[in-house]
Amino acid sequence: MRAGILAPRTLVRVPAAHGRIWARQLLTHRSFVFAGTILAVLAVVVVTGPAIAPADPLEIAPASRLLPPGRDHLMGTDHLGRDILSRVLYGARYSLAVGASAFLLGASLGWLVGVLSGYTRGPVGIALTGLIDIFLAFPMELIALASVGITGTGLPNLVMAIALSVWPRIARVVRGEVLRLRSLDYVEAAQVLGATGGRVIWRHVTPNLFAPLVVALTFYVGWAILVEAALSFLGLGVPPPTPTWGNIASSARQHMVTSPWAMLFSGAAVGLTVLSLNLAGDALRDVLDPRLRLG
Amino acid sequence: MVALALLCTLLAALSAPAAPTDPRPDLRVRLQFQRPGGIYDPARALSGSDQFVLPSLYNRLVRPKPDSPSGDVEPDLAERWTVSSDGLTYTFYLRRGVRFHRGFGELTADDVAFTFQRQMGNRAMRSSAELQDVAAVEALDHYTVRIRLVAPNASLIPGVVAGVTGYIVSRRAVDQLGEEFARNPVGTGPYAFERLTAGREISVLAHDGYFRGRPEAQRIVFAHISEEVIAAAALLKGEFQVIWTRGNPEAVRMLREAHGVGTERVAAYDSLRHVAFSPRFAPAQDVRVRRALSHAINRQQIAAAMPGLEMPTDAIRSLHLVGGGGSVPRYAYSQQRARALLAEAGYLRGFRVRLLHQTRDLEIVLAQIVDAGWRAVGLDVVLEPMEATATLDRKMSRDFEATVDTVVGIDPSYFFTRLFHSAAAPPAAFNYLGYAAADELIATARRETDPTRRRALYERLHRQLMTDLPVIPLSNQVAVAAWRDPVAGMVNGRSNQFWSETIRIRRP
Repeated sequence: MRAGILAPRTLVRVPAAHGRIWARQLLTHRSFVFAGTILAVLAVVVVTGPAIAPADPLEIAPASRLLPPGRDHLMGTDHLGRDILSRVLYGARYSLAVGASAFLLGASLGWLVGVLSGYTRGPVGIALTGLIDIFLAFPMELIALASVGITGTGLPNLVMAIALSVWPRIARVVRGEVLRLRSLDYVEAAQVLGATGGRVIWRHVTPNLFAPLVVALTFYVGWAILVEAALSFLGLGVPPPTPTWGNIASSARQHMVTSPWAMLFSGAAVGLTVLSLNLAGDALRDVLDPRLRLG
Repeated sequence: MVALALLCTLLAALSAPAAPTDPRPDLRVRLQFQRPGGIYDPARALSGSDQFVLPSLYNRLVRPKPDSPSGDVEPDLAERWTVSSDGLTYTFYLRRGVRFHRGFGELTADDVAFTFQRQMGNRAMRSSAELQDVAAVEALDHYTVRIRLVAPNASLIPGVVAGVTGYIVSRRAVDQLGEEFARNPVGTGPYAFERLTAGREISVLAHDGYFRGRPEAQRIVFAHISEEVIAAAALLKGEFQVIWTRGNPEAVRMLREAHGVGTERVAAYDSLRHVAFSPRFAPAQDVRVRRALSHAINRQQIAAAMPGLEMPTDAIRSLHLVGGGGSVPRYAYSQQRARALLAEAGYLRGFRVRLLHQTRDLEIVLAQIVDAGWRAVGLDVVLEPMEATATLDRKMSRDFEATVDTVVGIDPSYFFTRLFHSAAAPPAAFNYLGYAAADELIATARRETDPTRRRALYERLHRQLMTDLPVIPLSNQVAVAAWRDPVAGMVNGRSNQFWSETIRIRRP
């Protein structure tokens, strides 16, 4: 007899009716509507950035330096005469790409270690749990800083640094969920019927991690964007002239007193995006978490 | 009765005149510009901001005239000096009665001889290479010193005796303090070392026995601020009384527009900002590539990005200085010419180059202007911004491909030797590329004592360098000195020559 018969897939599949209910709940959730609108606009910007940017974000024109917002430059120009609007639009691509890829890398590692530490018993489980605890003992920013300090600046190193600081948080969430799932009847039944550990993890445990991972995504992608901005602000992120929201703000800090617009617009982009992701995460948790629904 | 007596005593104590306090003000001065190393032994001080403090602590036999932009010299500890007809023997006659700080006694010829002897042949000392022509330094009597050379050296006075190498230390203090001398210096200058405080601030106290007269400030605290706008704001708020700033036109504008702030622009034609290359970076070993890279840079953008603050140049030596005259090959901005030269050198499709630079505003701007020019002719440029110390480490170990660097030297021998002599390898000097084709000309020019022939030799050297182009010139530095109450003014010498003794305090 196959384990799948006693552990029907319908347990982890979202029935169409549930999907419609969740969608209706999300669409009536005011925070989600606000956040979703912002994120949708952001998605359009990311896809169409090069087409809608009024100028080349790398082209310097020092004769037009530090122009205030006006008809020719809607967000003004920076200290090298580059169009800030174009840089912010292109910066969205880099900042979101860094945030998303760092999350994906960190979530993959966090999922793997979290599942193994939660599912396996004995020395391997204990060792992996200890590893997670060790990483959790350090502030995330410190891990990212240390990693960039060792590997140097640059896009791949930055993604790795942020992923390194994210994975233990994901692993902790995953481990807790796996510990809960492991003791459920359908998982035990699958084990009794001879399903291998890998099969149980892949077919019966992992699909149930979807909801917490989606919520984690909204928080940690936002956090990754903030870290990218912070590291780029410190000169440890993506090197110039590549525009990211962080290094746009970093290069604007010397002119903050007399020409604050570059700092203002790049900071607003970071703030709005992170706020939207967090609001979306809160809304998703409200809708997907049955305990909160009951409450 | 006892109570009455006590009351009388108390009243008498309260009405007694207070001990006279020094009416001179304390000042805070911004260090120029790097993070301090905290080393104030002139023979070991490498950081520019440590060297910035040295004229306050020490004197030299001869010093640059504070108000001379061209590097003229004037007597300092030596009242006068003579040079033998063969140019091999210099005799200096010292002022009498000059006293070291903190009771270390009178300065004598023995201290002068000791100052140079401790640096000669000692590779741990910053300037050992500059003293390679010196055969001996002897104290003939209490107030007479003789320097004998192995070969004539026209730069001995302006480049060595009046340079950082020439600051005279107290023999007794060095013997007594040993390694600690670097953090507890003793000189004869207008201010005496008081203490090093948190963040490597250095506090100096007026040396009232100074032979040029009593300094007008009681105490000066030198402190570091890395950001230009923050430094300008600190002066405007009254936290600092004197700052130097550079590289940020907005900071200068804030200072110029502020009421009660004096400013002066100081052009340092002897400071060359340039792009240097590592010997490991293959494309830059071809002179056609270096010329192409120079053609590709639009230097007018430097002036536009930092109006009034950086002077773009396509020459290695400024025409305002010895060696900078005459006609030399130049590589004016031309993308077409740059592409043609790259194609001729076999780099039709360009190449990847990593450009290392510091994360200071000025270097970021310069690097991005270079980056824009090089990218426009088809190069794949990767900027590597790094913190100052990390950048220095990588430069010293030649762990880079191209880098934005600055070398300062008003004396032509000092300047050309440290930048282009084959022996001037890092970490002691700046010939990163390992250029070796000018050694003979550099040595010949150094030994030529006739001013006309010397100038002609340096112009020839400059022509050769501009032909071979081992470095790509970018700009000369401009700094702006700013001061506020109670400072009424000061003499602003060249970059890194802060003459604290010339500070004038406004009388109430």
